[in-house]
Amino acid sequence: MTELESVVQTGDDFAALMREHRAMVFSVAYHFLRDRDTAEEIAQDVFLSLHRNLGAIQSAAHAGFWLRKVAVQRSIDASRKRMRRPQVALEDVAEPVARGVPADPMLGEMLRRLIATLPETPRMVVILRYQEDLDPSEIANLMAIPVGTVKSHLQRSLALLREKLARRGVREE
Amino acid sequence: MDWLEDELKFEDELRKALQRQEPSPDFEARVTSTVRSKVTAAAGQRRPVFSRPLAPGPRPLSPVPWPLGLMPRWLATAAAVLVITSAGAGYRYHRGHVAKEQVMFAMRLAGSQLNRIQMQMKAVRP
Repeated sequence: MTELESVVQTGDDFAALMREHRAMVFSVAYHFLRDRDTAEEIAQDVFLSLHRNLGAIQSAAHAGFWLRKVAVQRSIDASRKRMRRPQVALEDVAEPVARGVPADPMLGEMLRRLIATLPETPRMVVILRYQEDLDPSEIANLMAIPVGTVKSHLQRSLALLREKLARRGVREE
Repeated sequence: MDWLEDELKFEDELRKALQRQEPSPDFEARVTSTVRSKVTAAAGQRRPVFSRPLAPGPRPLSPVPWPLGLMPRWLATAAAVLVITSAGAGYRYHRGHVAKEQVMFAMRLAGSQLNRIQMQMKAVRP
């Protein structure tokens, strides 16, 4: 019996894996690149790659880890290839209409734009921490960097984001 | 502990900002369709050797077991030419051998006839 057959036997077939993980794969690419079309292309590429490598997938948990890792790598590759960073310069970020305490959607959009201005590695670290809720050791494992580096990226990125928000007169409630 | 509360609230805002989003509704259908077309294309490449089109381009791997599947086309042609040539040479050798046997037989006949005539002539002459 092949490994693929064993995966299918446990019900983790390709369609089920795609349904379960499509939002994760797409969102990693989308939050990293801020471009829906490119994010969909990357997500499609990641799932095609999964289909080619189904034989190497041992379990549903392994599939999740594998998909997340490939999505991270492909997003970084796409960012480097297309020289998209920084896609939105800080100067281009719209000033909030009302100063002080903005509505949540506005703060969310402002945060997403500011995250997009972070350098590659800290940006992906922040996305994996707050989108995927991974702890620093998991992020370190996924990105093949030391845990200490992950922690320092997180600390510095949060401080930078707070500072940029404050500079625009936005206070998070 | 205001700073801690602030920190936690800020992290909550980040989580809300980075909530997962769904791709477009036709995403799954597009991926499935691409996978299906790739699988079909891959299956098409596994046709038997003799049903392959002669169109130029990279030759797909043949499912014929080793070594026939790995044998280049020019090598197969050269082997066929060699077999035909050596078969022809063998046939020519065989025909020559048969002809030689016939000549030898004819000479033996002629020799025996000559001997017989010589014996008769000796008998006639005293």
